[in-house]
Amino acid sequence: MNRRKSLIGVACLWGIGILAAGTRTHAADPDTRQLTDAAGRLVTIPAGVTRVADPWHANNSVVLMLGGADKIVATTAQAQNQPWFRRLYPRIKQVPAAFNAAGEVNIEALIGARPDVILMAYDGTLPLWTGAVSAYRVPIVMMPNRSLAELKTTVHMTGEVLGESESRVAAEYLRYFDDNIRRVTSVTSKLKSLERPKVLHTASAGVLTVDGRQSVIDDWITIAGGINAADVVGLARPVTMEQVAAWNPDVIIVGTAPNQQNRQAILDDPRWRQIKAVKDGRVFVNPSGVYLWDRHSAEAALQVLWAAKTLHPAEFADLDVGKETRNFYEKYFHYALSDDELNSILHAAPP
Amino acid sequence: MRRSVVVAMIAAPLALLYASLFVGRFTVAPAEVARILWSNVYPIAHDWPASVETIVMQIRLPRAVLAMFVGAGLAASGSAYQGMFRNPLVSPDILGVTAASAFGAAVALLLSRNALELQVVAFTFGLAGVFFTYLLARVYRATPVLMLVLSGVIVAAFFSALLSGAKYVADPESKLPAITYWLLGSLNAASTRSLAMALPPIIAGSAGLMFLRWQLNVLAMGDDEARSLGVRTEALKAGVIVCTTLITAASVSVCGIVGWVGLVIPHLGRMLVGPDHRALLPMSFCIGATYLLFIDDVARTATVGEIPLGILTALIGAPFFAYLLRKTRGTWQ
Amino acid sequence: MAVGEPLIEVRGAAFKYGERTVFASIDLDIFTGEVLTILGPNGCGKSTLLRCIGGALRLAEGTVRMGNDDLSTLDPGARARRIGFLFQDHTPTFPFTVLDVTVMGRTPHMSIFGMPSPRDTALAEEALDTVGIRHLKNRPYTELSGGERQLVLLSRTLAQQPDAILLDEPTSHLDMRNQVLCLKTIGALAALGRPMIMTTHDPNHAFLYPGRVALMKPDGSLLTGPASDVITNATLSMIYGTDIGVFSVARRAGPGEFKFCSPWQ
Repeated sequence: MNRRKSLIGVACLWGIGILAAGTRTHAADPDTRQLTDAAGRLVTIPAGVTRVADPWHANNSVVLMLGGADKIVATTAQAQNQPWFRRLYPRIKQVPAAFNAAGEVNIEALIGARPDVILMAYDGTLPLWTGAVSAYRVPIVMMPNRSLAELKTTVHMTGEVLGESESRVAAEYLRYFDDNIRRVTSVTSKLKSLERPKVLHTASAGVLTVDGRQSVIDDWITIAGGINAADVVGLARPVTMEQVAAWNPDVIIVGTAPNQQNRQAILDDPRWRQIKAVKDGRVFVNPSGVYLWDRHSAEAALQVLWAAKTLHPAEFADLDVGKETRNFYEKYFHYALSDDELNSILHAAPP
Repeated sequence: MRRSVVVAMIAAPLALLYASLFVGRFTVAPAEVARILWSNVYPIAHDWPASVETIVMQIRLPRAVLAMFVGAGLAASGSAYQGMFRNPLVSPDILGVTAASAFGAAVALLLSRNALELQVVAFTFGLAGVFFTYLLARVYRATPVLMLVLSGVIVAAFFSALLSGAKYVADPESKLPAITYWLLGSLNAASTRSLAMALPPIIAGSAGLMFLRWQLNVLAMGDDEARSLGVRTEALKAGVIVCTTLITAASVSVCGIVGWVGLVIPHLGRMLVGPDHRALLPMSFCIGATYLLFIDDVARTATVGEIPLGILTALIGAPFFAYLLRKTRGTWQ
Repeated sequence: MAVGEPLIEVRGAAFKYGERTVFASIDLDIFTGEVLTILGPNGCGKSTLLRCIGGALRLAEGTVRMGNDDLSTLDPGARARRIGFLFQDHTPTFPFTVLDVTVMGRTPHMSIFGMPSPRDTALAEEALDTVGIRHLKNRPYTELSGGERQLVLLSRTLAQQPDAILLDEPTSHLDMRNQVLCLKTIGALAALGRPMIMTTHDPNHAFLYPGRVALMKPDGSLLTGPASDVITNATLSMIYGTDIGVFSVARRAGPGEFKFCSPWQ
């Protein structure tokens, strides 16, 4: 009799245990939410994100724009060394740079920062450190980065991850971005192909590299009413001077390593003298502020305006890029730019 | 050397030089090239667009001239070093000039400097690297060949590590690709101004080697024997090092790392005229100039983007060296 | 220079490797036309002494004078015009022709940036003639046998036209045939008038030439004199540490006796 009671008791306990375990695996945890990232993975992140690690240089400026910069606990040296970022958000200097330039991670520094989530650019393959990091159960959200359209998706996803207020700002920003694009394309879409200048966008000064098709740069050139003169695919591709002469661009934009000296070097170089852009005096330095405007930065919304005005000054005579920049900085970075500061940003000079 | 050989040695590179001016992705007719060249000597009516003149005079001509001088200089440097070190496997990089120059170039690219500034920085670093190697190798007021080689290994390894460090911190979207392309070697930086900076050291170093070519023969007998024949071996070694370093640093600073020319061309020269530097040096100049000019023509014409020089010279140089190795069965006779 | 005065005078020569004294207080005279053989076992310092006389090494103490000049104060070119040196080891690397190697002997008479003149080439060919290997002049010298190569280096030293020739164990790597070839040539050259100093560890070589022998004793001092006086059973056994007999036999060709040494009797 006693033995049977014990057996039943053990069976009951066992049953309760199984039920409890089963209940555990099926019930949803109210403290988390799920989203699908650019790599097609279902990622579970905390409901309230307060600590973010951002190894994507340009994305740090997006986080700043969305008002979530206080949540950044790990970043990259390249992002935190942008002079204007430091000016607008001094705290970034104290944030540990757990990621190097190539996006590789110092695991200890990263985990020591105890992030809730990591935001990363997805170019088709997962970075090598995702395996190591997932052992520490830190979710990684991959975001797309290969075109202007994908940049908008990234801004939306970043807002979603960061929280409600950032989401709202993201929605506002995207409306503004789309407004800008509409404003520009309403004019440029009517341009005939002959009216579209050929634009060469350089990536580096010491070695001649240019940015080609299927890139975010190609996208804003097209939106702004130009044609990418570089008939190559990808970013920072090497080309010969002869090839540049054969393309004979109408406009040259010194980008990615933008500064006045590099622009002047092109103007002084006898090999560039017969290029149409140099003869017509249409060599420009791409603006650079919190991040390089021409890449995946938050200021891409301003880039389309600047590019349109630069390529078609007559058609956009009423567009005041300076005013738009001021308003943008006021609204999203809560910073009032002086005349000098505005000038510096538009000419890619440090503060 | 026979007169016919001498004539061929001068005619071949010049003919290839002319051909290089109308070969390329931008079509220019040979006759037009001739008229453009002539118009710079004797004024005639310009019936071609200014852009074509720029292509020929500002882009192709400096590039071809640079290819010839760099090829000639590197080949002669290789010959001189192989004689000085008494070792046919030596290349001009052995004392660390290339690694140091490369690091200088990487620094310039990290700091977003333009191509001319990069050239100056890379040249300076190249000279500094060899200077350290020389100091490190000095033992009791002499620099034995073994010490030079070991010191060169040390200095090259050190600068290679620094270069890796530079690549590690470089932005992968723009700076790292630039550094990578630079390291692979290209003559795209050739212009009248970069030529004006690169040519004087190359010419000075080459002239120095030409003056010293008999003494190089004697040095190839060994330090002791050369000294017993009245050669000031330490001064001679220092002189050869200065000349080859001027050539190599100037070459690397303007076109990145172009390997195999300094290693393989001297062997080709030796197969044709023997080890006597009186004939070997001029022959190395000639073959080196023609070879690199030909390679560069292929590099810039074959595809839209350039094929890096370093890749082409290795693709051609390595199998050729393998063939030489099998043919001579390692005896170098 | 009067007849009977030495061409080379060594006074009070001493040399040290670190703390170890190799030799000290060496006095030596070398006269025109003689072949002085410096005899000693391996490692006794005879090569070092020869290098000091030739100027390849600096003496710790003492002087080497040639005529009115202290050899150590001469610049390498001037010294090379007075003294020719044949080294013990030569590792050939590149296949220079025999003629090219011989012409290198003219380097001390050329300027730093100079090239050999036709006269230099003619003198080199003469040297090849004297040594008897002119027929090899266009062969790569790396293809020759050890003995022939030694003769090429000898021609080079001759082309140098020095006042004296120093030879450091010239036959140490040669087989018997090549040894004979080499030593006979040296004898013939000596007969032309230039003094020659030769180091060797084989006492038999000392009997080949008319001239003095300098025996290097274990304490670093020299015992100098005619071969028959210096080379005896007692002295050889002292310096080699093994019983070596000195024997006389009748010459096979010609009158007179011929001396030789052997430890095997």
